[in-house]
Amino acid sequence: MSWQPVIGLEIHVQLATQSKIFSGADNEYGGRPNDKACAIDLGLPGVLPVLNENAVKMAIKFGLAIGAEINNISIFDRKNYFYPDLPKGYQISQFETPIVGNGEIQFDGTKGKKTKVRITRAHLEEDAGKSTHDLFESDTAIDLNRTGTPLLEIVSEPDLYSAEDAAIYFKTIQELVKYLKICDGDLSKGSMRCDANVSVRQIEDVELGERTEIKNINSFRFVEQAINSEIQRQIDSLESGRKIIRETRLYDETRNETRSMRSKEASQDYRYFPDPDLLPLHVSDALIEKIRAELPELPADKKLRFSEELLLDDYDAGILCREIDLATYFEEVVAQCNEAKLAANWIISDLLAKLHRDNLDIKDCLITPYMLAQIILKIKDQTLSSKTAKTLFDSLWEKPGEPADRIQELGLQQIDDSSKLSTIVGKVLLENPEQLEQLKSGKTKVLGYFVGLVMQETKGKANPKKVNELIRASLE
Amino acid sequence: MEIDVDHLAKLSNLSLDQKQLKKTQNDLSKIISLINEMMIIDTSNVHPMAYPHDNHQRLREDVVTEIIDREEMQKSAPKQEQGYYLVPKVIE
Amino acid sequence: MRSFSTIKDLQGLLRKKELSSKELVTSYLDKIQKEDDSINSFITIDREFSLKQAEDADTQIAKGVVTPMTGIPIAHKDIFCTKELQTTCGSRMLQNFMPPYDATVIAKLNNSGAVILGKTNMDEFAMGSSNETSFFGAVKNPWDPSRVPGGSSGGSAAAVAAGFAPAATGTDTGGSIRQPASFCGLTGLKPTYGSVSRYGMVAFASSLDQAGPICRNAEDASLLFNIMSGFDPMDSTSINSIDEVAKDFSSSQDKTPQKITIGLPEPYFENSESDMGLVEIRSQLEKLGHRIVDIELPNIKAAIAAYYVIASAEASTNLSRYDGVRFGYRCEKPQSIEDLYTRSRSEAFGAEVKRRILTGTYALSVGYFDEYYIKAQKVRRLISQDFKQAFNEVDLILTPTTPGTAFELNSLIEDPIKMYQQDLYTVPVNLAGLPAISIPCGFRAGMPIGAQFIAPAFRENTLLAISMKIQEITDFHQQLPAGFS
Repeated sequence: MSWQPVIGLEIHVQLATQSKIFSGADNEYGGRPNDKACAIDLGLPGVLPVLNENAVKMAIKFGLAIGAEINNISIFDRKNYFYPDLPKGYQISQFETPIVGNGEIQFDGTKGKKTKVRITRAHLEEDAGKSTHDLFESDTAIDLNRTGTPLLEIVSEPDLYSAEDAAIYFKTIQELVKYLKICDGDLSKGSMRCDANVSVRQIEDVELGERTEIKNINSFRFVEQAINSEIQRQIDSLESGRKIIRETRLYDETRNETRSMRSKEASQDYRYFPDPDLLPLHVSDALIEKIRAELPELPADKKLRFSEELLLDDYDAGILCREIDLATYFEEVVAQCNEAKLAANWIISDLLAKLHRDNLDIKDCLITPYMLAQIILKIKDQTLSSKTAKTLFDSLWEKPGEPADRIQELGLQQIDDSSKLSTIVGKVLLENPEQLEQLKSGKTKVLGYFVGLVMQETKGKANPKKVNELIRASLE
Repeated sequence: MEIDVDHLAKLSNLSLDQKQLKKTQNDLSKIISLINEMMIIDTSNVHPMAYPHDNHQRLREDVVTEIIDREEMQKSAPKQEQGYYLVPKVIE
Repeated sequence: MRSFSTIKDLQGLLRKKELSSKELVTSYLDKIQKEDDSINSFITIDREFSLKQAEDADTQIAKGVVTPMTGIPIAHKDIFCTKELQTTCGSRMLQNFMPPYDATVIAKLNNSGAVILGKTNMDEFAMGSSNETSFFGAVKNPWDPSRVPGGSSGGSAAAVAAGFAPAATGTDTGGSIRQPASFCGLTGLKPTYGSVSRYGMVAFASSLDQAGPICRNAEDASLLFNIMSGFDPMDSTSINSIDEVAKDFSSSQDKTPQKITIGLPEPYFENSESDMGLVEIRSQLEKLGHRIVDIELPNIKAAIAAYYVIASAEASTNLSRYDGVRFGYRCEKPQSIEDLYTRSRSEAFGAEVKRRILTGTYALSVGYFDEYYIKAQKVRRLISQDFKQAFNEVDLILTPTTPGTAFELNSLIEDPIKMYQQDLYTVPVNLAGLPAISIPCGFRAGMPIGAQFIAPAFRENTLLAISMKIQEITDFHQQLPAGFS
């Protein structure tokens, strides 16, 4: 039996507005419990919601970035259910008419395969609070600071066929929202989380199998693990003749398995209807075009520009554009040294390797764009050879500092002085008469041997080009 | 057709004893009959009216305007400790 | 008869320094203390608080600060959040609730210098037409205490009728200002939806609720309406640009309204007892030179059904926040979160509130949504169109406010259907979001009768002008109930 997993993700993105979606309370993360929950967030009697214009703009930005239809009219609905961190007993969301319609996103999936995922819709809604079950012995503690944080819920079609692709898709969305500056993408703060709809079917089937929903996954690693464990569970069930029940499940990372949620969510009747406290949201074409004009350069466009204008090869451009922070770093280096290819090489071969080894993000990189630009400039003006440049780089990585000073400290200055070099050239030529004869008779390969000897003598600091010239000159 | 008052009560987190259930069932049936009678009007081609006027949602400028006094907000809280609202432990 | 003074009378007394606000407020509080036991119109009185406000007002008056309401006492329906007084909505659920903010309406009136006399009794969460569902006991009609004052703003109407306050605020979702005004011989205005802020006014049915004044006459009503109304950024449904004509009402007060055409939807009246004072008011209008014509409102009979579906649906979700978690009633020793919710709500909500929550939940639930909720909203549009159509031909519409005079206590409370039918003339107005006023137009067997005028959106000035004119040539609004004068 060969099974094909089918996955769709519902990603919740917390929008980085100043104030909350329906109230003027501070939207910043953190603080003492319930310090950031105003009367409107608390759902006290008599309060009313008023919509944050920035949340609307951010939603539109996202929609434009995925090539989606922006609905000129959208409605806010009440989604009714009881939970202690949902103060009003309903969540204000969008049901039938969301602000963003069909769109799509493309990315390099598993093994670099070009993958496209259709996005069904994206809508605005308010976040709920947090319930903590282990702070008090017999009570659950409710903190409503997060209530009212604007969320953009992005719903994908079931276009993902492996847990790995799902994780890559999740990451791609993370990068996009960071690019658009609508979310900081910080999963540890809960800025993004996702629910996964998972089903399996026989590879030749057209119909989808029954699906389950895994809720509230909040790390890339868990996305893949949770989905894989659920896929396996479903396959095991089906192969033993058991049916899959449509239900909501939670992932337990300690046991690496999903378990059914106790709440009767499957039988929930949300009784969606238009919220009478909020009027229909009208978004004009003029506003949409204004936002389109203000969109930052998107990853795909940036990659194209890197290839076409900066003449990077496709593969390198792709790597640099995958994360906005990396692309920004690269652009800052280029701005200061004007050597796109060299910058790309250094970043991709050397910088990324070190970051990966030390488990750091580009944000944490202690070698600043200025430092790297300086290294490159010093190569260009022949102060450094590629070998000494690497030495400098390694040294700055361990202990950041001013490159010019470090060159002095370590004596890395390339030896350029003709008279000095001539003396050494003369010496090695004399000491190796056999090879000298070979050189004189036209075996140009031996040149490298002599250059190597000079480099050895100078501990790698000789300017190889100069050495080359001097050797040739001495033959004449 | 019998109205499943029990189900409605569960959805709205209300509990009714047997006597109340029966009375509520009767009342609801009468109300629904009244509603059914009156709504035989032809509404084909009529668009539902969810709002009394045709205005659009106004947008609020994205600035922090609320200064929150937590103690003041929590002065009517039935059970509160260290700033948290407390409820019986919820098992997920 | 100081206690039956109008706001205008009291303005005169205060300005001429014939008495201070403190003296005035004291005399009202004393009267309430002495006589409200038999009426039960107030839930909360805070003597110290009111007298302090009065003293502050006197200080302002001494400085020469003269605003329309400085030092004038007013009673507030207990549905408006007041920061310093408990706000109960007539329910056990909010019995000890102290809001951390004032409703916009309260703030506006406070800023105008008004003194809060207290919070008046009401049907629980504004659901009712008789003020018999209040957790704090039924309110009696001062004209005949064996009868109801109407609801849900029964306490406000009874207080003004009994001379406990010169005026009071109320709210109207399906007639809850107009019907009690009518039963108690008062003038009650339900403004155009969106003209008075709903922020801080505990929600019953969000697309139908509006706050308005209950007064001794239309002149006072216009004064209060001007203060209460206006755009509020805290309410998304608040209208930003009120019609210039309506806002300019104060200057049109002395002008005689031009001759207008008034429509009478005759076929509608087969449900009312006798003519409900319309013959009388018709003759007054003709005397004033206005024209009465017959009009049709073809879909009006479905209004009650549509109203009950929509109001219950909205209410069922508006009341979900009452869960014993952050404020309000919490049951003793809850065993689980489900137990907390279910017992708190079941113990603290009365029967009518539960009935409406269940009806509303039904109308919104899977399988019934299209049949009930969507259908009701379509009927709503038809009714709204009927009004628009009628207003192409007429300037105002005239109907009785209620099908009969105030009924006896306990006579309808067990029969929800009969109770709902009390609202047949008033609910269509809320569905269409229009303004309407009820003014006294006669008596039957000693009990007041009210006539209702309905205007197009934002034409409160027309309503108030015609009402003031009628009150110049009639004296129904000046009659007083026997027990309290």
